[in-house]
Amino acid sequence: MGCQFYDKTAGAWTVAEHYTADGLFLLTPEAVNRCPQLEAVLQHCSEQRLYCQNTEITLRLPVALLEQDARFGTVARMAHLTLHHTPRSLAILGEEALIPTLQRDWLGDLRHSAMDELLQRVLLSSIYSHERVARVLVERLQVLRMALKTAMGNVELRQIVVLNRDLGELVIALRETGLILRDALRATAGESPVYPLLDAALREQRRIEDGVNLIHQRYLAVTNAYNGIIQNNAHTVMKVMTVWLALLMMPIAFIMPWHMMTPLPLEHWHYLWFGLLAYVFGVTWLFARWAGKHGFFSM
Amino acid sequence: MMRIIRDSLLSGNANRRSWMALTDPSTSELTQAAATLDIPESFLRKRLEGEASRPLIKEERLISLQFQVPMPEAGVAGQFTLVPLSLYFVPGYFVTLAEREIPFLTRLIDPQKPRKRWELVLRIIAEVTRNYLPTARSVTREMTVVERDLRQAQRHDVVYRGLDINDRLLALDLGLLQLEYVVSEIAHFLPAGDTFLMELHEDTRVELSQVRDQVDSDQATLSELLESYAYVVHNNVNHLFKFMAALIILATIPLFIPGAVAMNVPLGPLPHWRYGFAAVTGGLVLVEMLTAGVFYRMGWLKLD
Repeated sequence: MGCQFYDKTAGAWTVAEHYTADGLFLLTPEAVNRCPQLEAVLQHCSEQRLYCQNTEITLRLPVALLEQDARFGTVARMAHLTLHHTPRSLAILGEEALIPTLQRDWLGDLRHSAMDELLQRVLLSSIYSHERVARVLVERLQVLRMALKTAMGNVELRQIVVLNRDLGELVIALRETGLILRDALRATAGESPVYPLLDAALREQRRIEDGVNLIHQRYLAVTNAYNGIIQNNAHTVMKVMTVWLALLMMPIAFIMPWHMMTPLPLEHWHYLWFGLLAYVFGVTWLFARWAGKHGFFSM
Repeated sequence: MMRIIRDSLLSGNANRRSWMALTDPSTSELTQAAATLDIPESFLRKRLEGEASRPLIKEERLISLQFQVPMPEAGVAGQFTLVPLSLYFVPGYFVTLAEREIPFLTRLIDPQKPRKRWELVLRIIAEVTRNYLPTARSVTREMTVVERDLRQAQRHDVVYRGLDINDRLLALDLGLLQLEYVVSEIAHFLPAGDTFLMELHEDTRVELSQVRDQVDSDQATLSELLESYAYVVHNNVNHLFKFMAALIILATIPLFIPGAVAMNVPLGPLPHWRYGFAAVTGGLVLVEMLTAGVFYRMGWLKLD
């Protein structure tokens, strides 16, 4: 994939040899080695997350993605996007998996966009990526929560723990974005055209952080109720088994007096055996009906 | 549906603007609106679908505001839908865009008494805030039903109902958070000397903050209580265990009292004693009653 350049006249992405500091570029980490102008700047930025020099600004921002994990299903993953912005160019450096999303969703309809506008679009999209992932995680959390209704083991609960932790990661990543944007705003002159863009992005970051943090806190607070649900499932099974045990004990208990080696009432009655069976099972049946009415058998 | 009502509000410089009301617009209506207003159609569509976007944008030719309006579901208490409502000010037009009819808009936007731009926005926000309050209350009221059912509950259905209420309160809280953000941002754009607008803004802000505090507090209480609900359900089930264990103990006594007289060994005079059965069974009944009495007094044979 390497380095791609957006050709405004053709309205399409074309493969470029290297970054030329004029226009919009998408690069993967391997392609940076072929761009000496970028390499030093990106080196600075990877150490400090933000590097400003004159009108150039380079930021390394976290981006939230979704991925499939063999053990835990859909989980969140944090990737990083490095943006190098000059008045005439914008270079976006990200891992290969991010490039199609950038081209299709974040940078769609580019014909009339200036570099500043594109920078803002990418900044906002990276912030919104956390909210989008949070929404998916919450949907998954709700599905897992329903699966807990019949769960006996810890599989669902462990997945819920992972999702809660992922939501926490999103909040941390948003806070990191906020810190970077605040530093970038401090390092940018008030009259710079980039200043209002960074300011707007910072406000959005605060709003989204508040929202994602609220979701995280509220879902985390009810996690203990999930433990209760699983324990209740196990208790329900034990409850039903115990009522069956009690039911089995009843005929034995009621028939026991007729095992005694004493003269027994009705011992000469021809149908005593049938009578006794009818008596003990009748009593047991009455108890079973009463227990059923009181929900002893309900699962 | 697209409606245009002429001279419905006053712009910043007191010129009259038309109100374009877009309610669940068709594709062609949206295209037509986008062309008339000179706003990209994708921009309108994103907001109609409630996708993540900036709730307040102020540019030279466009002011865009977006928030969520809670609309109660007819006939189902405590159920609601959050409908994204967008407001746009462009030269010549004031636009409302929503996928459902918002009832209070026609009341607030009156061509006979056109309001100023920010006054109208603040009044709409105040009305939206007032919609949140009864919605939140009706959701919270469901807790009483859950708590009533909790007394007898043996399964976690009550906990699930609690979780569902928690989710709905969270949705309301997020909607209020967005509204709070819009209100705080609007403060930067209000004309500095207009005390009427400043007061209106402060009233709206305070009202919003009160509603949000209430929803926050309800939700925090519920989150804390849900764990207790789970324990109440456990305890209800444990009561059954206790009761059944007591029954099993009572059912075990006949195994050893008549069992002692059922052994295949010489039993003295018992096998030939006329009243043997009555004596042993009477003793058994006495022991059972004594044991049951002790259990009952200890609360082991009570279901409540």
